[in-house]
Amino acid sequence: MMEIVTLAHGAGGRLTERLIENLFKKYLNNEYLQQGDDGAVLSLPGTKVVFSTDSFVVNPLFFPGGDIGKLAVYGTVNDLAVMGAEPLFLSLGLILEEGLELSELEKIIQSIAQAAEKAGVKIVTGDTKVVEKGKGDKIYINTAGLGIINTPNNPSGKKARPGDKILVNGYLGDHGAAILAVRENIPGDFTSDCAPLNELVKSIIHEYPVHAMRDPSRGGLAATLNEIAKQSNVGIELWEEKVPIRPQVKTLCGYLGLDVYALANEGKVIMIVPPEIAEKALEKIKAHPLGKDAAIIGEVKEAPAGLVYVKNRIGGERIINMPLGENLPRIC
Amino acid sequence: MKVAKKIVVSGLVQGIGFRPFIWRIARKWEIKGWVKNSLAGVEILAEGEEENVNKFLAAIKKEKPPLAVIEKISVIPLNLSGNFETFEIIESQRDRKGVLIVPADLPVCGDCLQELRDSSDRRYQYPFINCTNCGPRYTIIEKLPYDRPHTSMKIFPLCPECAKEYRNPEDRRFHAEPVACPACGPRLFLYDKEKNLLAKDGEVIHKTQELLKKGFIVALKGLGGYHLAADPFNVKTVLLLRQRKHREAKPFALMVKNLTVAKKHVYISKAEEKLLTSNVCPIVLCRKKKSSKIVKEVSPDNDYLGIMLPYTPFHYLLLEHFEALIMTSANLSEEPIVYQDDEVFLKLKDIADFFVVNNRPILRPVDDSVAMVYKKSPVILRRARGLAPLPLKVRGMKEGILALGGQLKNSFAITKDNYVYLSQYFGDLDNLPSRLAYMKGIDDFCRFFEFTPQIVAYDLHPGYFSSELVEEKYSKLKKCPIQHHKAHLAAVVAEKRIKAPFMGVIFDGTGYGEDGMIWGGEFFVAFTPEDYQRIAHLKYFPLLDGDEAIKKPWKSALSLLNEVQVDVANLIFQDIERMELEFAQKRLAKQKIFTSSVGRLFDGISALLGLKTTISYEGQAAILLETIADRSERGCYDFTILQEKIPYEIDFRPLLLDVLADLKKGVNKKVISGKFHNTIVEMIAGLGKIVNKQYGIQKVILAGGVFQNRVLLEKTFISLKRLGLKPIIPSYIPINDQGIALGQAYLANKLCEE
Ligand SMILES: [Fe+3]
Ligand SMILES: [Mg+2]
Ligand SMILES: [Zn+2]
Ligand SMILES: [Zn+2]
Repeated sequence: MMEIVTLAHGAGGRLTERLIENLFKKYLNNEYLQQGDDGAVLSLPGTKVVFSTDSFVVNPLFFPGGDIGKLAVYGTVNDLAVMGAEPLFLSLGLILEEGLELSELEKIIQSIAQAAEKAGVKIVTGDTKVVEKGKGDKIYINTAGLGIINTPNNPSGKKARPGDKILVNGYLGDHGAAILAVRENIPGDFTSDCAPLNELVKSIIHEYPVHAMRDPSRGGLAATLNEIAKQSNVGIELWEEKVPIRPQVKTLCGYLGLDVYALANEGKVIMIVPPEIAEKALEKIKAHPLGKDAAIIGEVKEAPAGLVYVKNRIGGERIINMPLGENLPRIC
Repeated sequence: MKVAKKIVVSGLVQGIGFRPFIWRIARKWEIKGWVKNSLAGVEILAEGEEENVNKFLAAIKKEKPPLAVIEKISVIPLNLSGNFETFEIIESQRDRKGVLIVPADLPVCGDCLQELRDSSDRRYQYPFINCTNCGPRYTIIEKLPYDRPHTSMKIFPLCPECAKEYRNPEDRRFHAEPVACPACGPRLFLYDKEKNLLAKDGEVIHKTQELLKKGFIVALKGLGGYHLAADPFNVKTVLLLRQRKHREAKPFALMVKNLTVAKKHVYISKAEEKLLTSNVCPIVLCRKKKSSKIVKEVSPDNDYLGIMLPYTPFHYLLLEHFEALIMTSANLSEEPIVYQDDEVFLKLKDIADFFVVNNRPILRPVDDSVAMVYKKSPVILRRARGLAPLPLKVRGMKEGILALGGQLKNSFAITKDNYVYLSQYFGDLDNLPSRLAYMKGIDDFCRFFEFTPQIVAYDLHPGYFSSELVEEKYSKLKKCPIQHHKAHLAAVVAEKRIKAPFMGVIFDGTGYGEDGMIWGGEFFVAFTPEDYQRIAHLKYFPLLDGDEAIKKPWKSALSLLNEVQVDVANLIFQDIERMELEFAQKRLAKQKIFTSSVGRLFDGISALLGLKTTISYEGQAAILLETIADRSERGCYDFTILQEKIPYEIDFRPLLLDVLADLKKGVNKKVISGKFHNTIVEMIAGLGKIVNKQYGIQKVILAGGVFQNRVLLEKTFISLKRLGLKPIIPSYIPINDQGIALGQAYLANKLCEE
């Protein structure tokens, strides 16, 4: 018989206990979880602590290149990493919908365990709730993460300066395209870029004074660069032919009328660095497996302050707007 | 008895020889005192015999210079001073605020042309000849009042001879601010791409003519910016220009030597002639003659050629050796016209082979205006040179409204007491240079007209740049969002001063609706000038993929087919990638965005007929559909008006089934297009009849981009008139999105009263 999540799994009784023992502890176990208390007591080396949280709702739960579990780990790990922190600990909150197959949940937990190991973080505390059927979307995950900063470089969205170069560690839009392809049932070679960026970031941040660093997840490059342009009060120029985008992703966007720059990424980092170190930093990024397709994709300008635009081969300059979230036509 | 009066003449009275005119009639009637330019217009202090002063006043009205437009003359009695022994023209000074009328740029006048061709004149063949009756204005004015030190001519000190003319009230050049001659004025230079100087002054014209004859593309500095000139009789050149400008099929405008030559190439009616030779000197869309040798690649998609006559002395000199030249705005697609000399070499290095530059700076870029004649009246399609920034009088308009306009074909407006100043044209606001020009334009207007916005009126669309601008820059002002199609309607009401009740038919591409849907086939009724009730609309149908649907009319066709459950897309759209087509079909069912756009209906039908499945410029599919339409066709397709609830819905599905049946039968596409046009007309007439019957309304205002279609316009007029209804279209504000800023201002004025 197929085992599914029932309301009792979240009631705090025997079934809950079984879930913790057979699933969570089985896959996620470590000395902190083993303490079995209401919270984890952590010793944090270093002085500056970064604390970040993120919730994950994704349809479908499994997609080429990843699943919601991986996303939940890497999402928070990457948020910490781009703050210049070394991620150490995560919390894991699950909201399950009654009826979710236990085998599916197991796959997700396994994936979480693998991801945590790959990223070098420990899940140290957690919680599970079950909602009635129809009140959730199979599974929602929240993770919160702690990391420490042990470098004097602390990048910030306010620090982009005219002349700075904009680096990205590889192809953009892969995650958004993979999700869309599954959802819209479009065949083709689409794989999420879902990956932990902490190691890659670490290799750069200790060596180079990165001015600004972000992971262009939801809202993609468009949202991230618009935020930075506003925060730093600078213009950002992108070079169309330099931005790495896979041809199939471009085609998909053409089909759907979507702005390829607004597609989500889950394993990409944007670094804005002083021009004199740009090439060296690029080489270093390229040396890392997650950065082999890295490129310098543009430059920070003094004007037009607060705007992001992309320059094409023939010199045309199109403004990249903050994504609206809804694809409304504007041509009258 | 002697009396003293202060006379203030407001209106378009500066920069057109108004003060010397006053000086002359003052002398005639033995008036003493003075005249000067002021911010209000022209101010006069007149002392003299009462009878003479009255005759003087009458003469101001009766004998005013041809270009003057007098809005108001106010007369204030003063105590007689007896201090004046002469009548003088005195220098302007700053004083109180008033209605500011900035003269638009003017084409060279007949007197100047005569001198241009007179070998004994000291300005013989001088390309910058001008006088008080002609020449640059708006494009060279830094600030008001309009005096030479406030223009870009201030860098050219007058030579003694020009100075004499400038100061002599009896001279045609008295206070002609841009006055110049070969000894003291601007000069012409010809460069190659690498900025090597090839020729100067008189030589330039001759050399440029040679280059154009050889098939080169030359960038020419004109009045409001640079043009790209090329030989329209040379296919290779035309195609080269298309290739370099990345402009596949969008028509190029022509400058034609004179009317006689123009008539060899296009049909010109009396009204078109009047428009072509008016002071606006716009590009006028005229019907091509079959016999014309102008290559069809100049305007491949339609039966019209956009032509204009020379309007600067430089153009006249250049065209002496040509019947016509292509004169297209020098820019990259969607960008504003290039107007700065350092910019031109950078921006156009891959387009132009040679550059004709002069050293008179252009302070404000202004494109050529575009117009067509409909029923003997002009219909403005692009309001720019010669029209901007002439104000429109709107009674009751209050001060302080900034209307931000639309997104793609844009202009903004500001309001002063009883006036609206509508800006020149700006292109797509997602294009960086266009957006910057638009923002600079707003600042420029604020400074120029000493305007501080208090209310900001803008389109409802959350994705328009104006919405962002309101959030970021004008969040402290009183905000007045205005629905797109209501603004279209209000613009006509404002321009034509239409009294309620009336009905509005707004057929358009797309605009954000009050219900979150994308409107574009809207019928309104109004019993007051500002309150519009949506009485009917085209039945909603799904709109795929945002702007992409507009660039790919086959997507509109697909949506329409889906509405009638007919699956023939695979047969019809042979040129569309199978996969893309299938995905689009699958996604239709999931669409959450619906539209009532008549523009998309035109697109869809055009694609179904195989005319254009993917467009290369805005409106191309609809233009092709119009071009092939058999105008003599009387047949009509079926449709129904669903009247269960207001707004009524016009169900287009019977029409679609009829079109498909005709297609299947192999009926000629010209006939199908003709019948389709007739059906749209019948929809308008049908609603007109209903509204007339229910509310007794007779006035039917037509606006929106779809009505740039002449076949539709013509047939709609005939049909409405036959029903005893009164169709109305705008004249001096564009019928497309460039007009909506006026409508926004008008509605904000009425609605933001409290
Ligand atoms: Fe519109
Ligand atoms: Mg977060
Ligand atoms: Zn003149
Ligand atoms: Zn001179």
